[in-house]
Amino acid sequence: MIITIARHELRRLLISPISWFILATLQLLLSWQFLVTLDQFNGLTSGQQQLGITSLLSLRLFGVASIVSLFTIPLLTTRLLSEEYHNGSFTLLRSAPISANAIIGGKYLALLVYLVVLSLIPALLITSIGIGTGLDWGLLSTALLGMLLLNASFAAIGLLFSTLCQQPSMATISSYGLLLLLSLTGYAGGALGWPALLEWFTWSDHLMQFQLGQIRSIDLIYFLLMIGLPLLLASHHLAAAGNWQRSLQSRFNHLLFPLLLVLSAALIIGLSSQYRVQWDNTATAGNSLSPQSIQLLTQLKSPLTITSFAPENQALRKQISSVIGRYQQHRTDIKLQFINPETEPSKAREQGITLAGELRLEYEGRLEQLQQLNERTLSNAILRLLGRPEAWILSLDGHGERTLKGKANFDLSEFNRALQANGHKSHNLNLTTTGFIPDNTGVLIIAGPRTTLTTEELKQIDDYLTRGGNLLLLVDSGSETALEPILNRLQMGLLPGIIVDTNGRRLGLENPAIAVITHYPEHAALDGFRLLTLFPQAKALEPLASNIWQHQALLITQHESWNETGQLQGEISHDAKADEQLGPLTLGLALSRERQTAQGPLQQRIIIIGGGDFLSNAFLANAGNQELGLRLIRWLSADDRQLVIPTLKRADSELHLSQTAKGVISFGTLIILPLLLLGLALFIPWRRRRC
Amino acid sequence: MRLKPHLQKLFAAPTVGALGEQREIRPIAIKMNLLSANSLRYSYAQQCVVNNVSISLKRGEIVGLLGQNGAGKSTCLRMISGNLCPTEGEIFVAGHNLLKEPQLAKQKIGYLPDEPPLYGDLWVDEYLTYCAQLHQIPRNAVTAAVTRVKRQCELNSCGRKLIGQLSKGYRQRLGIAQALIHQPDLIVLDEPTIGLDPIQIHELRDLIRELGSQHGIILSSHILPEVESLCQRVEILHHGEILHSEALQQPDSKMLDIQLAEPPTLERLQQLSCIETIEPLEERHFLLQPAQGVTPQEIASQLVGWGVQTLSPQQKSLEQIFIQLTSGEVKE
Repeated sequence: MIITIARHELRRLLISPISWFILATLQLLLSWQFLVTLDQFNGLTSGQQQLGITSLLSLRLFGVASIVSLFTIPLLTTRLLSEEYHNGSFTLLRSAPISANAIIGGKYLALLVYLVVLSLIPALLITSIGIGTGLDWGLLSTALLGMLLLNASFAAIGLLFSTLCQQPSMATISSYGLLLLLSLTGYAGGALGWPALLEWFTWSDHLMQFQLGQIRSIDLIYFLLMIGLPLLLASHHLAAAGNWQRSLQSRFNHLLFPLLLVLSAALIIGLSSQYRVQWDNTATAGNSLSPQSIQLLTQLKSPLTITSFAPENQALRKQISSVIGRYQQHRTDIKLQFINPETEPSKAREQGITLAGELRLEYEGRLEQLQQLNERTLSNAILRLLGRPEAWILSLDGHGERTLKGKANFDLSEFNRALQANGHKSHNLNLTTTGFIPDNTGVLIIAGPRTTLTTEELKQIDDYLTRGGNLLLLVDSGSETALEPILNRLQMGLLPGIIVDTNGRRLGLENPAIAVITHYPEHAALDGFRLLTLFPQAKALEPLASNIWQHQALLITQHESWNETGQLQGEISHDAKADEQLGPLTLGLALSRERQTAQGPLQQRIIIIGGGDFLSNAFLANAGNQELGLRLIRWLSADDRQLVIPTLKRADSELHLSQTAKGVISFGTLIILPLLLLGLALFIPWRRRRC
Repeated sequence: MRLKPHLQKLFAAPTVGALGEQREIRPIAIKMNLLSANSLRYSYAQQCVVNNVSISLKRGEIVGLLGQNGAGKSTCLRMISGNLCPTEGEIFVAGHNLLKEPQLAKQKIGYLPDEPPLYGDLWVDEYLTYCAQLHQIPRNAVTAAVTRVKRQCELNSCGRKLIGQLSKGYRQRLGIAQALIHQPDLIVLDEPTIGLDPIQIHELRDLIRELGSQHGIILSSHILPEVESLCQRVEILHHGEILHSEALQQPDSKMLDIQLAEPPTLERLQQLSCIETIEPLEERHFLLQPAQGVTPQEIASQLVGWGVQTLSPQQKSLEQIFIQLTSGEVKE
């Protein structure tokens, strides 16, 4: 009987012009969006293209289709029952020996068949570019499934109102009302402060997951509830219509049934948020953690707390949650909490948070800070948390040098704060009082001593270097003499004068004596580092031939720079005769050598930079200076283990369509198909009237 | 309780086939009432629309529901056809409780509501086929059933016409056709002749009479002659209650209305052997009941000496009863 009613309803749908008009409109809107997206895609950067044309198109086209559905499905559902009540034809069904379930089922089935066609239009459009790229079929079919589920739930909601309302206009308006409400609750939730619950009701977020090629149990359950609940209510209402006043018991049942239904739905929602399952259907598993990260998570022995200092911005916070969510899938003891730096600035300042959206990871009392969030940075931060060397960062004190504990402008106390926020232990070291450099020293910092070091001190440092100790040497102008013994030991020479860099002018820097570094060579310490760094009053290094040390340049100035030996006053220019060399000049160097120790082979690491101002309290906050400093310390303290997460190249990151193919697709989808559908909308009623 | 389809078949009467020869009439249906509606009450928004209405009907009987507009005729028929749930009371159709086993009972009912339940965008043939399918007529008998009702209702010429383009008369006929398509035991017709022209009315009455011999028919009307000419029994509804229920008299027991030019005294007339009773209506105008077996001709020949001006059959007509009842002059 369901089939009989479904066939009848489908026939009525197909002979009515409105269903063809809807198809024509959808086709027109979609192909327009489709062609625009194709055009844009080839203009994107390769990084953006890496997301793939399938995912881009599925987001755009299914997005447009969902809005069209929102506005058209209530028009179709109103016809199913409300209009039949209104024009009396429903009597035919009520007089026939049919159950309410069969009526609802048959009518819903017919609409569903039509909606499958509606949902297929965007999918077929995307399929048409399969000739020019390798489509991600998993993602496409998942997006199609999401679209079907969305349409099915819109139809179920519309059908419920169609069943409830005797007036067709009332049915249409009520359906629109609820559907719009379901589209907007998420925004309201944000304003009211209980976003999670209200956001759950918003369909767009659930649909989005399907469009990204991901099926999550929570989204699936949302749509199944949005389909099942209205249908059961509609069927119940139809069966009980007119019957409810008969007895107290049936009146009770009439109210009890919806109540029980809603309660059980709430139970399912509750359970679904507890037990989550998800399937990633994209070709490159783009929504899932890499095996490397998953392996890493198995090494966590206690809970990991992640605090995000993101402002009250739903989009930003959602994005953060979604990245962390991938980790939480594998470890339930990863907790994410948000602190709004705008409302709780003191908390943020305590933690040394400088950037809104910064994250702080806490694991077994150790801390790690993160400014840029993606799988690579987060996994690597976790890796560092897992195995933090228990070594100290010590800065030499006693000769007027910059120290970690000093609070003056040229001192490094701000940098020290950043070090501690990242879980490093640090202190000043005065050799005249301690007399030796401790064995648990991870990195020794010598930052521009003004007075010469005693022989005893030099001997201690020499010993330290011989033992294989790591060193960060910052050579300031004025400290050349004090550092000469150490520089000699490291076979390092200096160019006279101070580096001037005309590139600074482009950035609006008045002072020419600031070297601007924009590009960095391949080095483990600088992996992925792209920020600009500024070096005031820096000196150029000149490595001497060495058979002990392996030199590698870290910081190299640009062409329009030289080491100015004259006074930095008035017009200055490059003077080759005065021993001035044109850039590129070496500003920073990494030295390393392999050493055999009792624990096995060990790499000794030293970094020499021709200037310490860039880490000073005065200049640390400029551009990428702090980040660079942290990276250098990380490498020096041999805490540079990197998790290499391979990025798979997507087959659909390139699109090659010939002009002919493009023309055929454009003409066919934008003109022929809509015209054909429009023609059918006019032809079918005309043809039927003529018979 | 709703039965599974295969069980329904077991419990239902043998399928009422599309073709007459396939019909099997269960002997039990002859003995019992085809329809018995007991003390129906329907109230809506605290207002009693129908109160304590009981109607019964046997196979082969045509019952008319007579009443003014708003008397509750349509509400009664909607309840009997299973379209409206009575507030109180029970309805049995061919032995099935309409409220408890609606699907079994509804198989036995064909219903024409006051507004025919049509789809304007369908062809007549499509519509009738759908109706046949809704009433679970076997697939191979559908075409035959459609052809039969089209013949019965004279819709042969418009199988491929859009229902929306049909005239009022054709729409009414199509409404009747859908009520007959599954050859129901009980046919419920709400004002069936409304909107038809005199010839169509005549044809429809013939059809109803013909159907009435095999099925049970209950129809409502506010047209008195129609009920008089069609129905064996009439129920007069007024303000939702049945005021009068009577089997309509056969024509041979009718009274005669006579006008005499020079009437004798009343006693003289009463003494005539051919007259059972006589009562004066006006001066020179009488209503008389003929003696058993006396024809009007014989009476005319005996009265001819007093100058018979008119002699016509007259009963205490339905119209009189109706008007008296509904205007509140007579309380039974």
